[in-house]
Amino acid sequence: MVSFFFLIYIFKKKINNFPNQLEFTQECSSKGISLVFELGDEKMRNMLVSSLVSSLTAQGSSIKVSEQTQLFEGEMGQTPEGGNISTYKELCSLASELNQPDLVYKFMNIANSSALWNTKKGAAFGFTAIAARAKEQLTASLPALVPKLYRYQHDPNPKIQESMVAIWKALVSDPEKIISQYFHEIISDLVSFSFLFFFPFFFLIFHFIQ
Amino acid sequence: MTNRAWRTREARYADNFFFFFFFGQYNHYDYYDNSTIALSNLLNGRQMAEVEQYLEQCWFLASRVLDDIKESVCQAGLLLCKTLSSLTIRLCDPNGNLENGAKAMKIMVPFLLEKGILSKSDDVRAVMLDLLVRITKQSGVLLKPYSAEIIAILLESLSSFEHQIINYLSFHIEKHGLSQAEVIFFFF
Repeated sequence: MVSFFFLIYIFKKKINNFPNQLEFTQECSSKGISLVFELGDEKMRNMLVSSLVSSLTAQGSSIKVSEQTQLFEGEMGQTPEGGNISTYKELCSLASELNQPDLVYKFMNIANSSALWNTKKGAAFGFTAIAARAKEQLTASLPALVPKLYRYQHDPNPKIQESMVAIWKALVSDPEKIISQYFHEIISDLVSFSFLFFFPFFFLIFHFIQ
Repeated sequence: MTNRAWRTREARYADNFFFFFFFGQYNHYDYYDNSTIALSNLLNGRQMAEVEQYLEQCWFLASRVLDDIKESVCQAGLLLCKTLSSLTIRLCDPNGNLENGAKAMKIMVPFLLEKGILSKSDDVRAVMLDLLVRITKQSGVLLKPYSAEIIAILLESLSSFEHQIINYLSFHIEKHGLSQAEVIFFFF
C-alpha cells in the first residue's frame, strides 16, 4: 500500500515536471503501476484508476467513458512532434476492442498523456502488461495486429524496434508458426503502400485510414 | 504500371516539399523504411506457392525504393533487392520443381524485359540487368520460350546500355584518328 502511494506520488510529480526528460521514470512508473494494477484487488484497482484519471485531467473531475474516444482523436492531430503516431493509434483502437473498462482506463492513462509519454518505449511497457494479461481477448484481433507489429519490429529507430519486439514477445509465443500462418496478411500490408508511388498525395488518406 | 506513370525525381522532390510544407514532417518515409526492411526479412527462404502472387509487386516496390531520394530508404531497398534476387534465382532453378520454375519465369522475364531493364534509374537498371544475366545463365530448359524475345530486346537496347563515350567516339572516329576496332577494344 505504501509503495502504491509512492508510485502515484512519482507519477503525479512526473506530470508536473519535465516529462520528456525523465525517460527512466516513465518506464519505472508505467511498469510499477501496471504491476500494482495486476496484483491489487478490485477496490485498489478502482482507487488506482480514479486517482490516475484525476491526476491526468486538469479539472480533476470525473470523466465519462464515452468521452475518451474523442479525446484520443483530438490529441492525435495535436501531436506532430516527429515519429509516427500510428502505433499510438493502433494501441488505442486495440484497447477499445477489448471491451474492458478497466483496461481502457488503464490504457487511457498511457495514451491520453501522449505528450508526456511521447516515447513509444513508455507506452510499450504499459502495453506488454496488458498484452500478457488479456491474451485470450487479443487472439481475436491477431490478424489485424500481427502485420503492424511485424512491420514496426523492423523500424530503423532502435528504440521503437526494442519496444515493438517486447510487445511481439508478450503476444506471440511461437513466432515462426504465427508468421507462416499470417503470411498473406503480413505481406499484403507491407506491399500495400506501393500505390503511393503512383499517387503520392493519397498518402494523406492512407495515413488516416491506418 | 507503365513507365509513364512513374514520377520523376524532380516530381518526388516536389512531393516531399509539399508534405513538409503542410505537415512539418516526412510522414510517408516511416512506411518506406520499416516495410522495406520487414519485407526483406519476411521473404527469406520462401516457397513459390506463398510468394507467387506478390512477386511482381515486390520487385516493383524494390525498384522504386532503390531509386528513392532518401539514403536510408535506398540502403533498405538494396537489401530488399539482394534478398529478392536470390529468391528469384532460387525459384527459377530448373533443378527444382519445373512447374514452379516455369511460373516464376513467366512472371519475372516479362517484368525484367518490359520494365526492369528500361528503368530510368542507373542503379535499378544495373540490378535488373544483373538479375537477367544470372537467370539466363542458370535456367537452361526454362529459358527456351523466352530466348527469342530476350535476344531481340537486348539487341535493341544495346546502344542505350553502352557507355556514352563509345557512342561519341564511334561518331567521331576520324577526328581522333582511331579505328572502329580500336574503340571497341579499348572498352573491353
